Amino acid sequence: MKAAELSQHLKEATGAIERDEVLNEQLSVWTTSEKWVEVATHLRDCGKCMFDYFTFLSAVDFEDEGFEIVLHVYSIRRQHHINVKLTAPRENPSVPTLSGVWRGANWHERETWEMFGINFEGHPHLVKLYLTEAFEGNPLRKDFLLMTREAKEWPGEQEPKEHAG
Amino acid sequence: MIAVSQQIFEQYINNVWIIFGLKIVAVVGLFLTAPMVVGYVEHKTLAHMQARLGPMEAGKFHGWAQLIADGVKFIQKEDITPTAADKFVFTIAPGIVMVPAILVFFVVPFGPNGWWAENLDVGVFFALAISSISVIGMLAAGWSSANKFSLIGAVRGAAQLIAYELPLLLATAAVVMQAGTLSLPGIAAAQSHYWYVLPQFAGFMLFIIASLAELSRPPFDMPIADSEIIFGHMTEYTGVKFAFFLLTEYAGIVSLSAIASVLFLGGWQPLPLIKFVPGPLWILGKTGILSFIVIWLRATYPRLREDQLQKMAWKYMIPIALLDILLTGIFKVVF
Amino acid sequence: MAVDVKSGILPGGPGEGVEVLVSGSADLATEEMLLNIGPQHPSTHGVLRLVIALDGEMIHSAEPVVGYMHRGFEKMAEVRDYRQIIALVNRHDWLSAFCNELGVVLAVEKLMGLDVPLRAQWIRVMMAEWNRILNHLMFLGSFGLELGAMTPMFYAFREREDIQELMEAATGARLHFTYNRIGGLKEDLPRGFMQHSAALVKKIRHRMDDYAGLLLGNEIFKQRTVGIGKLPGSVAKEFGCSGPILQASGIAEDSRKTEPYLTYDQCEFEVPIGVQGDSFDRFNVLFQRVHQSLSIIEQVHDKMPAGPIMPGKMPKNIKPPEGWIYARTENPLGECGYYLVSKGGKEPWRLKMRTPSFSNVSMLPALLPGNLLPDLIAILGSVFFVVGDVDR
Repeated sequence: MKAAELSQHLKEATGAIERDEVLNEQLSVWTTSEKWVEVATHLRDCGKCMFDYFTFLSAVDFEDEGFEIVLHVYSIRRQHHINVKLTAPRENPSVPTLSGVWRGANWHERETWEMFGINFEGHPHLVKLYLTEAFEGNPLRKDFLLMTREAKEWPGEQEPKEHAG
Repeated sequence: MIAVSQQIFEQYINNVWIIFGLKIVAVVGLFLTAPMVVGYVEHKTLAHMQARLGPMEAGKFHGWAQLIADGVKFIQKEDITPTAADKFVFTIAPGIVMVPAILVFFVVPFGPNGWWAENLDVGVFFALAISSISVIGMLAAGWSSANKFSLIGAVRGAAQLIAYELPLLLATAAVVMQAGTLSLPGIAAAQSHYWYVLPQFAGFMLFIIASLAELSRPPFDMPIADSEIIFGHMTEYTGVKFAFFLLTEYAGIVSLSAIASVLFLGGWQPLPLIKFVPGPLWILGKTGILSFIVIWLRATYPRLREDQLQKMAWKYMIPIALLDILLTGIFKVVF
Repeated sequence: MAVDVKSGILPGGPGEGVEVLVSGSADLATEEMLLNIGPQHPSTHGVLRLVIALDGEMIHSAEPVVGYMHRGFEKMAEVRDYRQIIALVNRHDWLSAFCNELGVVLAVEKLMGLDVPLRAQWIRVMMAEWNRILNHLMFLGSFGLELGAMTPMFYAFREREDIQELMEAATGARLHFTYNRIGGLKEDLPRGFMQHSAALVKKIRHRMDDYAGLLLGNEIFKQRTVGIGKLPGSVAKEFGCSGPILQASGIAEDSRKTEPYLTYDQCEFEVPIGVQGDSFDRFNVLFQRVHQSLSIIEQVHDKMPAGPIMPGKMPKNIKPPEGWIYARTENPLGECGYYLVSKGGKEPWRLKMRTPSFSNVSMLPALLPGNLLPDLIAILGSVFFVVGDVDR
């Protein structure tokens, strides 16, 4: 399905699409955390959507605008992509888990949880994936500074020089 | 030749203790050198089969001294005993594995007219009985290491060795029936007209397959499967103790190949036309060819799974071996 | 049969606090054994750790513990400019460095709307395919080694050496090529490269028969792999498995075919698929993919146009416009995607790496239980992954 058609279909079928945008031929739709699981389930089960392939789930820290949680799924059957996005507040961000919809979401949510501190309600096994238990902080948040970079500037050449020849 | 003729002893040195001592020296010397030769041949054969060179540096000429250097290295290594290990059992286990492997060489004949250390009337029986003692050493090593991988390896090894003892013995029994003697030189002498590999071909194949399993060599190396359970019962061993296990494995290749060539390939009996080659060279050549096949298989096959191996032993090899004995019996009675 | 369940906490390491389900039959009091496979173990290709609960040699549950090699690439990418990122991304899956950098370069180019010269595109296709063969040979060899056949590994390294020599001639590196630039390539191909490449295609194709003879046609190899670790296509899709693993489960998904990037739409090739998704099928698909790649390379030789390899003069600092993009490539191990968010700066705002090995390994807890310990190795070897690609 074309991006515009798909977005129209989702708006009608779920009624949970706040806005949509097509950038570089890729469709993004924004929804809310209340409708998060419902939209995901629709994407998986609807005969027009058939998003059977779980690609990834992650987040982007937009500082004052909060976190944007990105779910990217693909339909091998229908051969279309979709980014489903959700803006979570900076204080105590929390969204329902999708690991009941696609089992593959399990590890991606664990990673997002430890990296951004976003809670996934109802996740069956929400423990750290990469980091040690003792590790404090959420490394991929923008306010988590990369200490080596703070202590010392990048030793390499900052600005590329024009070649003499 | 390393094994020295008994008659020479009796002629010049008529003291039983000196003879006994010299025999021990000869057998232990054989035990220490034969694995070196097989090990070196394995290094080079595998290397050339796998598009590489193998050892090239030690001793200048094609790395001939590689295994001597390895031996020196093993001696220099720290001898580590895990804290949780059962120290006594852990220490004696390599010995339990190694001593039977030495003792087997006492009865292997390396030529006609006294080229053996001891001619027992029950030579075959002795050789096979004593070589199965190493299972106990394997179990002891695996259990005392206090390592889960060692334990799995030891249990696998025990199960495998016990399952393969039977086809090995049954295949031998058919030969013994045909020869009418349990003495190894006797069996070799009985093949002066034809080698037993012709009437006992099934038995020969069974014996080779069963000895591969007995030796834990590929494709039956599950007890030490390095990609699954690190190194089985040897995982925790270091230095000289580990070298003992390795030495035993390669000595086992030599002794079982030698026994197989006595049982099935006529021992020192030459082929027609080239009878001028002396007997000891024949038996060495036959042992060498069988050892080479053992090495060759390692370069070719992946390993089986333990349950597939057991299935093969109990469902195919043992019935075939029993049938072989039955046919040999009928043959004996009728002709 | 009644089953009592209790959970245990595993001490030590990054996985501390991992809960492991320990269950035993109440009828027959057998104790389960917790076995740590890894992080240092010969067959985990690096530092993957598997905590498995064993009943005899039967696996009851398996939990991969990752993170021993986590290097924080996604955070590092946020303080590197776009040129530096190329050198960064080719390190997460060190066996397919060229394909990794290709993905991130495609993402930036698409975001900027750059037109890449045709010659550069064709060279990229050829290099990506050589890199694919380089990667597949490694797994063709190591799978044999894990099953106890040591010879294929040495053969694989013999062939890899030849390919690395070829790629070194063009890129100057043997492992981390860093040959891509935003907009094109670092340098044009050296003189004589195409002849060298054409000769090597013939040589490798001929030598692939060695692997077929040693493994594919080997009775013991078949016994060990046929019917072992069957992965249904639906489960593979749900976990996001891709590449040879997905294809072995009977799903012919390959982004070179379904959403062609570069000039793959002008190449003819097939996507090999398996029948029942077992270890043998996965291995066989990998083997067939090498042949397809060789045929693509031959087509590139015929179609390679002349021309520049960079689109005119590029700016000193690359600043893509504000926006986001997801670019995916078919890496040797599966779908590798980069979700790039730009705020118009010279550094990316966020670079999410969607790596194939991560999804492949996350599927293991669903695949392993019910198999034997020796089969664990046969399965692990056929779920092709690189630990650096899992941990990033």
